[in-house]
Amino acid sequence: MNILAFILFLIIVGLTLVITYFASRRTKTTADFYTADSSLTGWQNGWAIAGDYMSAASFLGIAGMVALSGFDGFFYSIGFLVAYLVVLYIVAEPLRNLGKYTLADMIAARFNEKKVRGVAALNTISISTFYMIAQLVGAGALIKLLLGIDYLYSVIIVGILMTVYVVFGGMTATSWVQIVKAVLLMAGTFIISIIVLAKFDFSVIEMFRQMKTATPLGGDFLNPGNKFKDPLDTLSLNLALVLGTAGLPHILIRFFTVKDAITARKSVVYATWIIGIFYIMTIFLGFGAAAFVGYDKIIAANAAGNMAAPLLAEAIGGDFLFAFVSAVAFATILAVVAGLVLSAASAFAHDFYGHIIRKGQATDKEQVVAARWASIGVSILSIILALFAQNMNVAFLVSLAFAVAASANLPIIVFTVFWKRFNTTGAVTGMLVGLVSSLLLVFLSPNVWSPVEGAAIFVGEPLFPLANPGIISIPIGFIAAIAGTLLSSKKADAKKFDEILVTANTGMKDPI
Amino acid sequence: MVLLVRKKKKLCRTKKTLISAFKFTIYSEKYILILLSEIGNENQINNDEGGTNLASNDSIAKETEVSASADYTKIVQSQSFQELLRKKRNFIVPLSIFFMVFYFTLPILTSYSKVLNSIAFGAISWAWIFAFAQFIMTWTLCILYSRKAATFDQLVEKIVKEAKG
Repeated sequence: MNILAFILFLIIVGLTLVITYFASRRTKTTADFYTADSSLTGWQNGWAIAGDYMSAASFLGIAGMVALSGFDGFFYSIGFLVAYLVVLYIVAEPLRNLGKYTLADMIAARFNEKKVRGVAALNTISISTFYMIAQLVGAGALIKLLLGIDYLYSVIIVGILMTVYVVFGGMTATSWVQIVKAVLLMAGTFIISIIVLAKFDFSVIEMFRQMKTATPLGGDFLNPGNKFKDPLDTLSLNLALVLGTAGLPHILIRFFTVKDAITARKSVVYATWIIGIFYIMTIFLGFGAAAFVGYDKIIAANAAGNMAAPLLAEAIGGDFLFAFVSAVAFATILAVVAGLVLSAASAFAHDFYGHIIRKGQATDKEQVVAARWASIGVSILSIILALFAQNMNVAFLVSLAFAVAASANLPIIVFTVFWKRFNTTGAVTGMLVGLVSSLLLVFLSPNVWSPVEGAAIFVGEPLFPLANPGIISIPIGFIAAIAGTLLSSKKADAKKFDEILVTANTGMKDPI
Repeated sequence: MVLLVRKKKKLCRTKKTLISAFKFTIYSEKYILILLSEIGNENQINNDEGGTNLASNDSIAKETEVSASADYTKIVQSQSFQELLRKKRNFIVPLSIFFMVFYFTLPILTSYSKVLNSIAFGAISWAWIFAFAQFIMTWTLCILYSRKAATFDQLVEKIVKEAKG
């Protein structure tokens, strides 16, 4: 065990628990619990969005992919960033104006029916759970590598911490853990990038020149096509990346933590700057690892390349930087899983318990209690699932989360705000078909089926050729929403749409 | 608004027979959703669909509904609101199409051709230049939107003022 890394882990855990302690004293009402009483500033929420978004998959995964496959890894960086234009232009402001605590609130603002809310909550829970299992499995593997603690204990430690943050500190603790993590992650990445650049005499041109000979791929390292060979699959991945973010519930609930649409807009803009600068730096992480750690050593530590960034830190900065970067990676996981627990728990407690079971009659205190129990339930469930998923290739869980988000949530968000004729039938059909089609396509994909034993979950020929279902399932989600609307004999409520139009665009909820 | 919904709910309950007649047609339309509808039981019928159906059959319900949403309709039809919608549409639609086209041009070019593999300068190929351009594009569009949105905000302020008289 690396003692220095262990001490830094403890410092980070201590810091987050202090945050949770102070947050818990301010978490009394449902508004405190779900949205930190909408008290965050644009800057704070911008950093928190960045902290929620830059997961271990981004930090460790993209660095590894760039190190191993060169240009192709960078596709993720681009897609993850450009996605924020969809959030900024189309989703953020109407969502803030229409919703209160959850994504389902926004859709229910127009279609106030239990089945609409129920299906929307189901989608939120599905997406958050897939995402969370992927994060927990990654966390277990990472802590095992860094500290030598067993997978079982690693997952349980992370699980307990995320439960404590959310149960006691609600959205306030979650937000501040995300802010602290984002600052640490940016600092760590910046330090590594500067050292890497210094090794190339602060010349990007020199860096590219040397990368031509630094890897086993030779000159091809700098060209696209090393990882993504099927054009259709590449386009499908890019589509899911750019449209998925705008449907991810744990990102969307962040817009309820600010007071109005103008602040929500500002926070997206700040987040876009932070996230963009971070993803530019993934090049230095990836190139640096390829040049100074080397292909063989990266592969030896982890076949998917997930250890590239910590190994690079060790190679160029010694033990301290290695320990620091490992601790940052740990903080990264904690912040993301806390956000996921909160989004799933709010769907359970606010949508299912508060609106469907108690029909909106539960007292504020009852709701807070329900939300806390829901958080504990969600955490226990995902810890158990993560223990079973230990040896699974988790890439498909992340692709699933993005595909479901883009296929099931995005069409409904867009049509709720912009389409006058859209009706209940269309909303429910769109959400269910989007969910089922993306689940089914991923289940039939090469992520789950492979003729080579051990390469996927089952041995056999995949029935669906693409690893990323987005290019099929996203259009299916939109078409189902349109078809459901047009085939239903019900007319849309035009007056309700006027109300939605006014509220979405101005934030006015009760005229006069 | 909440009060009116409750009023409507009461009305709905008195018209339960009417509702169950509608329920049949609603269920037959959405056979896929029967299971879900049942979880929510009949109470749910009252709002969206039951409400409108009922309104067309019940003059009292119709009147209450009109007075509830007349204000919103008036705002939507106002000149300032239409100007806001037009301004937003004229900005968001073309620029969204632009960034989607700009974004997908990169993977389409790298997947179906090798044109971007030619060198721009040093060892840096056009693929990398285009990749960096995506970042510049995103930031530029963020700045442009922020500036444009300031004019939207002024219009919103005007609309809110007008609505509140």
